[in-house]
Amino acid sequence: MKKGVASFNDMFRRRLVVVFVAFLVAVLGIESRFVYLQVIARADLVDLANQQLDTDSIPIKAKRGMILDSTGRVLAEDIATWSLGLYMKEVKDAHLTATSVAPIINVSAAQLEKQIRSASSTFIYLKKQVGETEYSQLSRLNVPGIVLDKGYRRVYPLGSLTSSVVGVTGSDNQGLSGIEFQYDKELRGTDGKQTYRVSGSNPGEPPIMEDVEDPIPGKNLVLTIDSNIQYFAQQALMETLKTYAGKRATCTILDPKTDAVLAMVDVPSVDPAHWQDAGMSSLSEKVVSANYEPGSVFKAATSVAGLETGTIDLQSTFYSGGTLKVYGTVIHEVNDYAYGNMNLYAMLQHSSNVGFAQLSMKIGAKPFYDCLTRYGFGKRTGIDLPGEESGILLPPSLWSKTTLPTMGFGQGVAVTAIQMANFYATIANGGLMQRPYIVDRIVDASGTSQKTDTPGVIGQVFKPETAKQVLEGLHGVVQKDIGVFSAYIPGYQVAGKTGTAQVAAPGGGYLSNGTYVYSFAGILTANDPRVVVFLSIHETTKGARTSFQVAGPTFKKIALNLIQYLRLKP
Amino acid sequence: MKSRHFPLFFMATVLLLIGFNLATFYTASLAEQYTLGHVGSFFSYFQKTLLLLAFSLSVAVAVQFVNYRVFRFLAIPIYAIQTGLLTAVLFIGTGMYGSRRWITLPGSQSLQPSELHKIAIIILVAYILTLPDRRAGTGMKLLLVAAAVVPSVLLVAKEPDLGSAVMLLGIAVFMVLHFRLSNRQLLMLGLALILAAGGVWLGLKPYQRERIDTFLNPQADPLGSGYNVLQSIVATGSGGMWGRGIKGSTQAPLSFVPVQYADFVFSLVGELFGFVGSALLVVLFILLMWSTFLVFRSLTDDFARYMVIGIQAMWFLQAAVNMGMTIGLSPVTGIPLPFISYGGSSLLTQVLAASIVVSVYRTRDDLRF
Repeated sequence: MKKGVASFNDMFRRRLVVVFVAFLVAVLGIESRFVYLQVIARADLVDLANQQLDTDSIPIKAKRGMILDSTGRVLAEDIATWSLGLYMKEVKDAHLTATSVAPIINVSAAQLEKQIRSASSTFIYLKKQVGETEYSQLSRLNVPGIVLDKGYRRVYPLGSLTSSVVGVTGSDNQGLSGIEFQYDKELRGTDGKQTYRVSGSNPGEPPIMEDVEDPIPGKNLVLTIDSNIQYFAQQALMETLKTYAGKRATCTILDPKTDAVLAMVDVPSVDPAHWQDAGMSSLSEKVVSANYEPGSVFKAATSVAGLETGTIDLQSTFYSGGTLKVYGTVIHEVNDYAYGNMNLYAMLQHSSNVGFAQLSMKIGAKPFYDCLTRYGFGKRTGIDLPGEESGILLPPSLWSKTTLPTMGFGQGVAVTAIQMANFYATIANGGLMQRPYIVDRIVDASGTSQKTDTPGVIGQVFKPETAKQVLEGLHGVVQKDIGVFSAYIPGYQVAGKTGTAQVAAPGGGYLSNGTYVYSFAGILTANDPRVVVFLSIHETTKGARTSFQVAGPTFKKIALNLIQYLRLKP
Repeated sequence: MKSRHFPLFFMATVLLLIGFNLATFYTASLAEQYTLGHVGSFFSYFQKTLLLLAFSLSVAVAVQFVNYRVFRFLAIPIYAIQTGLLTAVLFIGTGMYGSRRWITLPGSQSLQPSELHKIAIIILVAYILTLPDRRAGTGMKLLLVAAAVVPSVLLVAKEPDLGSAVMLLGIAVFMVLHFRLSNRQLLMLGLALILAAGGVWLGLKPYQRERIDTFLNPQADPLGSGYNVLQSIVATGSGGMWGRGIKGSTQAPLSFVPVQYADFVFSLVGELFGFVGSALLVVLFILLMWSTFLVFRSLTDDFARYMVIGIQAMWFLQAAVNMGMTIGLSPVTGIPLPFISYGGSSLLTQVLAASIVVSVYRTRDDLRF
């Protein structure tokens, strides 16, 4: 027995050595592998570890700023909207999901279930633009997989009333036209973002939130536009377009003291909710983007130039025998009426083409051109709207022999409505020309408002005395029994001037279908200019064909409303 | 002699390992909190480990005052209960990836019978090998060992948990290695095992063979079956000399390494504490082996010796295979790292094993021949 134990111990010792060696080999193997991995191959393995670190981010949409009119009424704002999606991985029961969701978003449950069952990706959208009430119902549902992504939708509560000025935004909430485009940077704000880290081995788990950057909402804009004025001006234009079957019309109303745009109407106008149907080209504000030949409203500019250059004074007269032949071209008075000798006021009152042709020729090409340039013709006004045209005022070197006389009564020159309106505002403002503007101030989220750099003074482009004289002459145009008495308002001193112009045809010459552009520039009132109204009515095809009948009464309607609304004194 | 009442060196080593476990999970939870900005899963593992330790250590305190000789009488009942649990797990068990390994207990706890079964096998094999010679000869004892071990191995392999099955077999083999066998008998046993291994390979499921292939060439399919090993190697290697620490670690907080809290816990150590930490842990395991060997050397009773051999074999095999798997030296088997891997059954088993060692030491015969 003793021998047996001894031999067991001997054998045991021998085997212990074997075990010990095996143990040593294992330990050495493991340790050397550690040395290899953690010392020798370390850099490569750190690279591998870092390579698979992946961050991803999704934007948090910033709320776009509001656009308000001068009375504080909302013209454009973002309202919260949600996109309803489904994480397919979490959807346990397609039938339950469909039947819970369908009644809220107003679709058929069977169809929704089919859509869920046939989903081929891990995430599907069930409905975009889910409103607030549906959102609160959906978020109360205890159905796994439902995802509600917040976004914003642009709404324009006043619809087509201000669409040409305010503009529209595109599908990515970016400004496409009007103020929305011009002030996109201010309105847009800065999107925030949620940064995620993509987790390694748990693809089913939600990503790990790394960082949230809050979005900075866009700034609000307060416009000079008064939607009440905008409204009655638009109504008046639409009635006129309807009565005379016109193609389009514009109305610009300025405060001559500040050059703030109180209304800018362009009809027909686009419903901003469905602008896509009308197309991109319908989005431009024609007041600033359409060049046209002004006709007789331009005579005010010739008048100012004549007085300013000293070519004439208020006593100077020109003779009209009804027609005037210049370089083989015959210039006609309306109905070839022979007015005889006329001073400037009479020429304005009769809207004498022959008289103003002689006046412009007497001023001379170069001085006349210089004056017109100084008065802002052929240049953009610099209003804060996109797509402004500059009108067409060619330099004298490109003029034909008849350009100078015809330009005297508003032919051979093209203007935009805003140029024309601004010129009359300058007359009303004593010759001090300013830059018209629409955005009065920019208000950030904290309520701090920042004035825009408007009005910008362009300069004293003619003498206050000249302005006063021409204003008086324009007052003479709108009298009880003579001149444009269709625009006459009892008790108020209205100054104004009509214009009837042929429409330039594509490729030169004029349209020969008997359509015209009827304009009226009015100043309320001659003794205390508070507002300037400029309207243009384009290509009517029905009824009367004179500015007196088409534009005058339209102005009167608007003016009566303005008097009442702004409480203008006689 | 009073000083021999407790194996202080051994107990200190075990407590250091447990401390290492807590330090690792606590650091990982800090790294997670730093990277994710909120408390993550490692913190909950840390908390649960504390609870499990409280439970396991109180069991262990009780066990170490027990005279180990009672295990002779408990060997067969324990084995019978365990075999019942291993059978039950095949029917009522739960698990991941198509396996059934856990029995769900009340209070959302679960038990992994294959872990505790190692203790049952160790006690039973020690009991069989020390049966009086007049009751069973050498051949009979080997047959009895085979009769005890093979059904258990098959039951565990059926779960399927091939790693644990091989572990049971390995423990038994290590214990038999110390049995008085002639070299020829050993050789025969070796051949039988090789034949058995061949049979097992033929019976392997495709994913199991794939794991062995993966082990041979992990980079071949980095997002497929080699993914676990590659991520583990990346985590371990990127730790470098001193580790990436709380702020630099990315693999662990972003859960790139699958089951890093359990099977791949060594890669967590590697990433957080680097080569220094990994080497320290290896040293702690060497100390565990050494201190256990010192206990073994003080024993005269064969039953006690075989139990300690079995326990030591379990620790050695598990540590070697687990570390090897983490660093791409051995196939992915799902063997936990003793004392370090998160898991209730595993921790309880290891603490029980350690308390048996303490018990054996405390109640050993002082007599020597």
